[in-house]
Amino acid sequence: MSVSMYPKLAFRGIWKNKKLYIPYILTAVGMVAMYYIVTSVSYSDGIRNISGGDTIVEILSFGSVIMAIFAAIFLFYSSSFLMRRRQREFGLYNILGMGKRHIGMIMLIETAFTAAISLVFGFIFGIAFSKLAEAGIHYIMKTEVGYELTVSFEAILSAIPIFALIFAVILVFTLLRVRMSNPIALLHSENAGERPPKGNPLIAIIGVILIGAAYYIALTTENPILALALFFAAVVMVIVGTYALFISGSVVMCRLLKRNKKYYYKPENFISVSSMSFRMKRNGAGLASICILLTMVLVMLTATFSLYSSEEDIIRSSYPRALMCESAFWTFEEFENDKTAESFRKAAFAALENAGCEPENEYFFRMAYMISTMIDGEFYSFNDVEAGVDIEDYYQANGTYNLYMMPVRDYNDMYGTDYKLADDEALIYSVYSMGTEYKDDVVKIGHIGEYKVVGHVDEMLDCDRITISAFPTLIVIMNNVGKNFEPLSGFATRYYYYGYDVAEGTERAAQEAIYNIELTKDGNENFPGLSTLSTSSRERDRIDFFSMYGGIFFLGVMLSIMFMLAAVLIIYYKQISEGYEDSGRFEIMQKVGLTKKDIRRSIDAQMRTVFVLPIAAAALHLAFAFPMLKRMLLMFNFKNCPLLLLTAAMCVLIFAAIYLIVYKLTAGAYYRIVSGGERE
Amino acid sequence: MSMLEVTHLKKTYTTRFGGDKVEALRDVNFTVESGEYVAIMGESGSGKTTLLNILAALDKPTGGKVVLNGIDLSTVKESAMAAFRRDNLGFVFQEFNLLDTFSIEDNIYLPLVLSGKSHADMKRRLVTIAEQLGITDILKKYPYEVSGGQKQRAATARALITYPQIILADEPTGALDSKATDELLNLFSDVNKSGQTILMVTHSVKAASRAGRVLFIRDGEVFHQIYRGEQTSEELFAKISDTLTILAGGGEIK
Repeated sequence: MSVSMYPKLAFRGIWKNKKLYIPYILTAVGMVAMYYIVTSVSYSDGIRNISGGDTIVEILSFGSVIMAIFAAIFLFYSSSFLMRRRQREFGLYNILGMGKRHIGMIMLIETAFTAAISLVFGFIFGIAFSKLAEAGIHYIMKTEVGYELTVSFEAILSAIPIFALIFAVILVFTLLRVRMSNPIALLHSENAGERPPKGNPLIAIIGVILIGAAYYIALTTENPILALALFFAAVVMVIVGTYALFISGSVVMCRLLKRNKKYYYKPENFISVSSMSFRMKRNGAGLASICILLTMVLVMLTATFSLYSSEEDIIRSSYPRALMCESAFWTFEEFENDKTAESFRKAAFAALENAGCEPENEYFFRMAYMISTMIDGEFYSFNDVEAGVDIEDYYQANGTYNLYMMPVRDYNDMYGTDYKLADDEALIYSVYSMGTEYKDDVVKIGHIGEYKVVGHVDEMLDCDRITISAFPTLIVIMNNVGKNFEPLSGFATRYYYYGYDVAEGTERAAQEAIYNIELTKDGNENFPGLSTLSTSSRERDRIDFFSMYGGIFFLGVMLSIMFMLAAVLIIYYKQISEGYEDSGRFEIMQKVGLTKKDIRRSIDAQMRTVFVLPIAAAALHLAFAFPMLKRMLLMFNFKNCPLLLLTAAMCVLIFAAIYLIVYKLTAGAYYRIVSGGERE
Repeated sequence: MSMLEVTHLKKTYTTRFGGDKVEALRDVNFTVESGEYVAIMGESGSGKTTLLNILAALDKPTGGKVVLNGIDLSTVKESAMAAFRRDNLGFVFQEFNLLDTFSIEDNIYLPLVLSGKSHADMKRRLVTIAEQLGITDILKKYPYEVSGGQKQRAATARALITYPQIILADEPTGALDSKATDELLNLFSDVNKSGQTILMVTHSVKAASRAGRVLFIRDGEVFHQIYRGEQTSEELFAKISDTLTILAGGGEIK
């Protein structure tokens, strides 16, 4: 065979299958472009140079790895679909006397051509849109953007080997497929009779159980840390369960419907039920994939957008003041010394004034803190092994509490209240948003004693930041948190918590000023027992916040686009393959006495079911993931449940709309194939 | 009045880009009486399939008309056509045209389900017909699980189950081996003896020789016909062969 024949046959192969090839190439172009964008942004100086840019760069580098993995999966999927549809063509070549080596040669050229086109156009689109993406990041980060168009050679150099590898692996699998085939089988591969799908009830039941269990976990896991850990287990369960249910459950369902003769032998049900069972057997996996992709997109966008959009809320509740400080003390006695506290407070305020920070809205209180495990209603430090605490309980979050102890004087001082307590009395503040609320009317602290709960306080400044935790929090307000707590000195920490609003732009100076208190030569003599001191500022955190959540949000958007691209491709291929399969049936039914209208109606009904299923299931998954999502976001101090709900609803609506448009478009392709004209 | 009257039937195809016209049927006239078994023969391209498609109301003639039991097919509304076809015509195709998504039983039920018959009624009809066609054992199987002969019998059952006025068969033996062909032809004869009208388009001399009358089509016209009369199938077979030889030679028959 003349060498010049190969490229000719390869191009003809692509051209003749353009209905299948063009979407495939478009997907590949899209994948390359997305990869280029994410990678180029992560290499961009413009991004690296903004404050917090490092975090973004880190997130995006991680993102480009994820992108590459998904690109590989999606391209692999669509190429295997493509090759399946072309088996017959290979068979024909083979029968016409072409060796498998020749076919391999043609495939090599086809793949190389596809890869080249995908890379070139992928880079062109990538370069065109990367500026947009960069501008998007700057918008998210609220920084200025430059307008010069740049080409990131780093991104190109990193994309070429990755995609070359992906296409090479695809080629190898194609060649294996050709090698293992025999020509007659190839020719008839699409006509092979198909066993009526039985659907394995066991698999269907397993699917239901898995999804049910995942839902149960999502609904009942109260502990955020546990939620985070179990979330991934639940995700895996939902994925496996969804596949099982779509592939097997739907077929079993159809079979049950068939058994009901009265229902089945109705004109409107007869055709749809029987062809649905076949359709689901073949497309169950595709539908499940669409469902999973949609769910991922929905969960991802809901979470990242909610986090990002409520940034100010989160920062406000994490930082009631612009400057927040904590100072630790060596001993309980020095910690509770009111004189030290008073002079420290004055010194800090003065230091800030001297630094020109104009401090105001000061707050100041002392609290001792202990992570504790409850045994028989008594609080012990989580590592107080001698008292019989099993440290395992802490890891299991079993009866674990954040226990804070605060002198009542500080509370009265801060809120202008006038609580008076006996030595064995206490007021409590219980944070139950994390889960359990402390309901007992007595607080027993091991090694210390019992306190009668005489009331609850309902205000507690700064407790959001203090108590962001996986565990329930109990703040006990009592008369003395001093010498009497000495037995706990090895277990509990002692802090001054204080904060101020400062003049804009002086946050850094204010932090410096506070640090200098400790560094003052005579500082520690003035404040005996002061050990460490730490400060944080709202401004500083805002930058961290933006770069972190902004980066995640950006990545969420990019991944969503990629997943949608994949979902669209799967939908399109599904429609095409069903179109080819159904066109024969369509003709027969017409001959046997079905009107075109009847057929169209029946097909419409099936397609609707098949189309609604994934998005409905995805919405259901999201609904059940919601409580878990809420709990996990609590860890980020996100409490705006209505916003989360609204975001989730909006995401579902937007994607339902996109999905509908895709459906309409691909349904058109389907009808064109079915209603004659196009044959293989 | 004849059951089926075909008068001055004409069908002209125009090629896609206009211009050339191809006459598939020029002027076809014939009638079929109730209970007759008629075979239509002709070479490829003689217009057989076009004729059958028009009789089946799948295609519209350019001129002339087809009257079935006094009803002119051209007066049946498009919307009522599918139902008309379902109620009056039964089809047997060369390629069986069974739906692979249905069991044999459901394939046979298909036209009845479409007419909204109850399951009990369908079942009652099926029992007799399945018995007659010898397919009772394979009803629960799927098309790909049974032989070609069995498929064609199932397709015949599907055609018969609506109690149609006439059965239109398009090369029913074309995809069968000789044993299955014999079986199917015996079946057709039996069905015909029980009063069923059959119109069969075929290439096969053997198949045609079992009919009561054979029409020959050439160049879009009915060119000749042979009545069985008292002849045996073998005698008819010989006569048909002779006619075909003349046809192929382009000669005339007195």
